Amino acid sequence: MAYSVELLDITKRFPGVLANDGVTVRFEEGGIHAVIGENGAGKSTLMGILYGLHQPDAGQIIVRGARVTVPDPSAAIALHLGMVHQHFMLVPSLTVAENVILGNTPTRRGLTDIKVAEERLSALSEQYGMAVRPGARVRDLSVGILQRVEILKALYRGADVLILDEPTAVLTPQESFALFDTLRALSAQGKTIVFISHKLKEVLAVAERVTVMRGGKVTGELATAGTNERELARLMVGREVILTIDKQDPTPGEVVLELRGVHAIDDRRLPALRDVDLQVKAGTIMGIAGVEGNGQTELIEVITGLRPTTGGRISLGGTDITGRSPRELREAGLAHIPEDRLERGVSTEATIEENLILDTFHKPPLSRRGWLDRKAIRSYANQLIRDYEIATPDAETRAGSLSGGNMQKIVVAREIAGGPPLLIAAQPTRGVDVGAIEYIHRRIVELRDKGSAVLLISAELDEILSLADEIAVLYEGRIVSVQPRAEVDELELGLRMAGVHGDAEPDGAGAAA
Amino acid sequence: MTLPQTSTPIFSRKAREILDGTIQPVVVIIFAMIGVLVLLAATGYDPAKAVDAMGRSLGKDLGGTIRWTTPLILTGVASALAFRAGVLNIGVDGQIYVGGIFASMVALGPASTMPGIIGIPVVLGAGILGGALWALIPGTLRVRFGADELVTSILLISVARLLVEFLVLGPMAAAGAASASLGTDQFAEGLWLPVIIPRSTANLGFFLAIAVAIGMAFLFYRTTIGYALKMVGQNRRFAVYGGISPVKTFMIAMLGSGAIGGLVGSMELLGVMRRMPQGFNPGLGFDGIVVALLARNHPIACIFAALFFGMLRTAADNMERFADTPRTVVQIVQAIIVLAVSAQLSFGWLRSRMNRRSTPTSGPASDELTSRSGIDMPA
Repeated sequence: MAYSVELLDITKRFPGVLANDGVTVRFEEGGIHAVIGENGAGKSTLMGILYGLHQPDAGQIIVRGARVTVPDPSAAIALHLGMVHQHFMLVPSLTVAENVILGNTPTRRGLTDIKVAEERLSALSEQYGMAVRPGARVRDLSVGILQRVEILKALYRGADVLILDEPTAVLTPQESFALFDTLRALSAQGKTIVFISHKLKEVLAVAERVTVMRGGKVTGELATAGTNERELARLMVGREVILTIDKQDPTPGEVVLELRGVHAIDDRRLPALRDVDLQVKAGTIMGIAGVEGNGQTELIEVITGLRPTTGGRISLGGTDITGRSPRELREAGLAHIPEDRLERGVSTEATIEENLILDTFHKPPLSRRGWLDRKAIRSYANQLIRDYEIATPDAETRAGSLSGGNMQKIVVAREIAGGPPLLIAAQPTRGVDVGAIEYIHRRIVELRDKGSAVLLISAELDEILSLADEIAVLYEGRIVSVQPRAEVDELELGLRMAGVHGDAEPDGAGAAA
Repeated sequence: MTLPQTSTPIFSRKAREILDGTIQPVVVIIFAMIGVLVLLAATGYDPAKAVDAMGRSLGKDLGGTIRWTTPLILTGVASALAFRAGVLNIGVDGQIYVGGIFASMVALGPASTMPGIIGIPVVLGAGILGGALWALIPGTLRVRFGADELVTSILLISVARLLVEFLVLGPMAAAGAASASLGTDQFAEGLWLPVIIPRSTANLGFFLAIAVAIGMAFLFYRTTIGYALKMVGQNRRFAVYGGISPVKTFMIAMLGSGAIGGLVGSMELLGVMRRMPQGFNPGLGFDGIVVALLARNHPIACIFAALFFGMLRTAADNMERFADTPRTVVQIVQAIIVLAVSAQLSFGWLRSRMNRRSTPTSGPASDELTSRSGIDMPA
């Protein structure tokens, strides 16, 4: 079969990092090809080189048999390459058609001819089975539809090769399935699809071939038909990874955390939490599922004392803790893995040691009457570094110089070390590599087995499904359902996350049709 | 580069850090001095005489150097304390004035009949109180109403300076012939800080200043307060999340900084002026910012940075007197140092940002690679 794009021996060096090291990948015409790897493996850089965002230091780019250079994205478009970014590049106040023709406007006697564009767009969406109304305002559309608009935009500009950067990161399961259908339809009509991902399941579900990258190099290229999650994970991480978590049935104890009728407003002073009731019992993990931006951040912040409530009560172990300060809450037994590591979880300028003692520095044995005991602090830090397998030369290393996974281990070590009765774990594995994910999951389950209550908030549905004993769905600031894990149907969960009860179509798809 | 270094170090980590921290300021100083000498030569002055005057400030006129070093150590430490917690108390000069007012009220009143051994601490204590109270104003405005302390503390400098002027013209004006000189009466001789170098105004306050700097170093590096201040200064959201009270740390840094400013005011009056004249503070607070900048907020390094600026100031006096060279050269040296140090800081900051962006080892950075560059359409 012919190749539509070949990247041969690509090398790209950024200051201090070899992002791509002699990478060779070939994409078959009309095929669906996945490029997978951990954060920092070099996959985004490679796609950036193909799309003209970066210039390679060495290597060749061959498009349809001819050697080319791609100095910038417009050259890529001229070569019939199209890219769908993770963050959509659309103007909310314009219509779909207006967005699509931006920078490439059809004119008639000097005036914009939107009709032509709308007709072509309708033809395209019909041809590939992507229902989108050209006259709809972009701001009214759901995330899944926006992604379709992005794909249509690329097709409208004549793309034969479509590059999608982590396309499912922002989608509900239903929207993901719809996207996969679209990709298959596109491929069936001769378009070449390249998609970047780190989700093994979906790679196996939709791609025909997969290239695995690690540390800037290709570690494997295989047909998805002949491989499995385990092998891909091993190629990504470079060692065996345990993907499923071994966990016993929970032994639920007393209610540790209880929210009753809690209301809160967000930073724009709009209602973010409405009448939230929630109970988390000792020895269990309660998972909060939901598409990001449905009140998760506010829920975490009101429980951890970082945001005031505007109504309702929160209690911890039977005591009312509404309106307490973070210090008081920590004294009462609350630990918190925050959702944004770099903003709250660690101080990148501070040393690992200083990061590890944030919640304990004011108490013996680390300090007495206001004086820090430097020996005790050093041995405490070294102990945590050993116990939690934080890869660092010593305790005095700047936290910011560590990898994302190791930084997150600092957070996990600090929060879990004291054996807190209640752990709020928000996006505990966001942006960390597969090996660290496995480790952090194991630690959270261990904590639960020792009798702590865990509230897990995650945008990764898989993480919730594999860890949680009970799953609550948060939609537009309300808890719309709470079910034991065993009774949860993944598809139904997805519908609830999209705000639909029962078996009706999700909002997004309905609006588009 | 972002990977932790594993090679065996020649020096211990501590020694290497101290060395790293010392070399750069020294290089900056040397370049600043060379720059000024070239400037003097180019404008027709005699650089040799300037060098000679500089030498004088370490020899014959060591007293002058110590006299200026004393307040500069303290104002440097005052700035370092605030900056460590990310508090922009730029109004130390105002706190010096109000410290001086409190000190002279006590010195001319209740303390005037006390023996020095009791009277001096009482007067210094009053100065400390005055400075802290003056810092309480911008502190409260910030905590209660969110008013930027940088702006309010600067504005309060003028208020304090005019307050001194008002007091020495009216309520506290010296009696008789001395009133023409715009100041208060002289303090009782027992309250004067003992002179340590004859025929100069270098006084016992020098040792007090060093003691304060050492004490502050202990506070910074050995106490829970020092840790809390640093964490808030480095990443406020991190500190708050961890249970550190931002209001408490802000107030500690603000009031502590003001208290040291107040101490400077009272020491200047007791040790050098021996009364309160109008406008008695020649911008010691602002010079302290430069000292802290050069010392990178390290209290012990502030002693050496202050010594350098004290020497420079004395040299400038001597140059004007003996070498006929304008004293503005000191300001030029200061300006060069400020520019060099802040350029260095901003380069370091830029470099660390660039590293973060181009290192695919951390999660969000690799996303930025594609989303920040290239595409110019609004999201």
